[in-house]
Amino acid sequence: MGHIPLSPQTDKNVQLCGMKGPLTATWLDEGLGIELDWDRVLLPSLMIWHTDRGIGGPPWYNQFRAVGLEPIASAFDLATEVSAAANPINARGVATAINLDPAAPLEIRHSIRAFAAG
Amino acid sequence: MGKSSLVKAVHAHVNGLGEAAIRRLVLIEIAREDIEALPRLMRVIAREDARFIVFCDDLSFDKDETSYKSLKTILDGGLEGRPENVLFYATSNRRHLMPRDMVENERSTAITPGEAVDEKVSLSDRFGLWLGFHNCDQPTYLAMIRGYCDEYGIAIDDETLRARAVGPRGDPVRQGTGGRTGQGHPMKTEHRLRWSHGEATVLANSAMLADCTFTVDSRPFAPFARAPWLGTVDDPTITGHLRVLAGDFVGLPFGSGQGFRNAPPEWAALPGLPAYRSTHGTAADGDWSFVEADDGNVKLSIDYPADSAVVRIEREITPRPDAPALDFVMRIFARRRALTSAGLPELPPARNARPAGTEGGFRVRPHPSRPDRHRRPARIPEPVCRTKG
Repeated sequence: MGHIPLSPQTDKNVQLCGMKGPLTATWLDEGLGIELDWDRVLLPSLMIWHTDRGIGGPPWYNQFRAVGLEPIASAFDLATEVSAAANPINARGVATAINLDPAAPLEIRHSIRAFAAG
Repeated sequence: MGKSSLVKAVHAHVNGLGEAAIRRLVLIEIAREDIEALPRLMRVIAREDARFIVFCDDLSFDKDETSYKSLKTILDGGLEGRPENVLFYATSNRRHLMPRDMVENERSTAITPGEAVDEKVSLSDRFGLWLGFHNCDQPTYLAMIRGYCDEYGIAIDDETLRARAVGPRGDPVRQGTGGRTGQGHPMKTEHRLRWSHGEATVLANSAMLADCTFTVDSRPFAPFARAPWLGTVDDPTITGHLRVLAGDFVGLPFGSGQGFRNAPPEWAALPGLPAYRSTHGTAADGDWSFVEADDGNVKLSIDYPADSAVVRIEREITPRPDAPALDFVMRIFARRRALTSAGLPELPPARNARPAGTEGGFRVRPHPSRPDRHRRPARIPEPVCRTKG
């Protein structure tokens, strides 16, 4: 998935497990980019959802185009029961869920900063 | 608190009476900046058969302004004054149509104390009828919101209504308890953030960040996708974030629940379950309430169903002062101990393919190691509910 589009009308997910740093997305033609930074202890993975006219039916109708950059504590975008149970990702020590506790509300921060690419 | 609404209601009511003596009542709203055109307007409408309410909303005058004299002439009547078929209505947040400190200042510095200010104060005295609109107390405020909910057919119990109207902590909302605020909280659909380095809209639906444009080196930069159908969906089977898919939202639990096609063996053994209730959970499938909202910050809250392990989520979006950046905070309050998936979809747009070997396009680069500026203690204090009294 080094280069996109992968193919016409694609819809693919890639999960990068155990992220160590923030992420930059740069529009090389415009010389502009964004940096996505987030709480990587609570959300240790990044899912890249590349959807390029790849979803049919309402309301999509093969129109939507995006590169989703998604900090997650999840096993891909499977049901939460799969993420909360034993799975091949948390077997490697990368959390796929967060712990809810009435005595300890969670705070998850993230930020998006735009920049001019030097 | 409902001042201009009252003027418009009076106009509608009188027209609805169908009285023979009032063949037609016309409401003309005049901008504050056009006050000096009033005498000319009067000359034109004086010749008409209809009756007129000339209305100026939020009228006030600052120091050194002289346009109030045009209004004074109108209110005085006489040859160049108000015709018989015209009434002048104005709303103002100032008792004498001018700042209180200006009244005091002019009174103390005039050659003849009181004379300078009297001319402007006398302007307000020329109105034949004054109606005071005072701040309402919380029970009245809540009764107003109940009235709006009944009017719009929104079924909501008293406890939920109160929580959404006055904030999850029972504090009064930041904007006060005016009618517009009351109407805004349960039904406000979006809020615009504006700061030195950008603008963005936050929608009540899924607390979606939409139409975000940063200013980078004086250039506008809109880095997020926007569904072409945003704002046009009327199919009731399409709900939540799917109606407004755009830049940044919350998934809790995260996931669409779709299984893998051609999954490797270790994944194929896992159950192919559907998403819990809906894709990306209640957070992405319902309207949030605006708790606080101004140019520099917006805070929203959404309650989860009673059988969920989550009580509610708060989401706060704050433009970073003097930078093309937005800071987000999500606070999750639990009902019971549980594990759940969570995610924060950010959706930059996809681009067309470029010929192989050419420079340019869109590059995503994870940074191998850098301290997380957002790492904070996971525990935050539980808010203390209190009533104002």
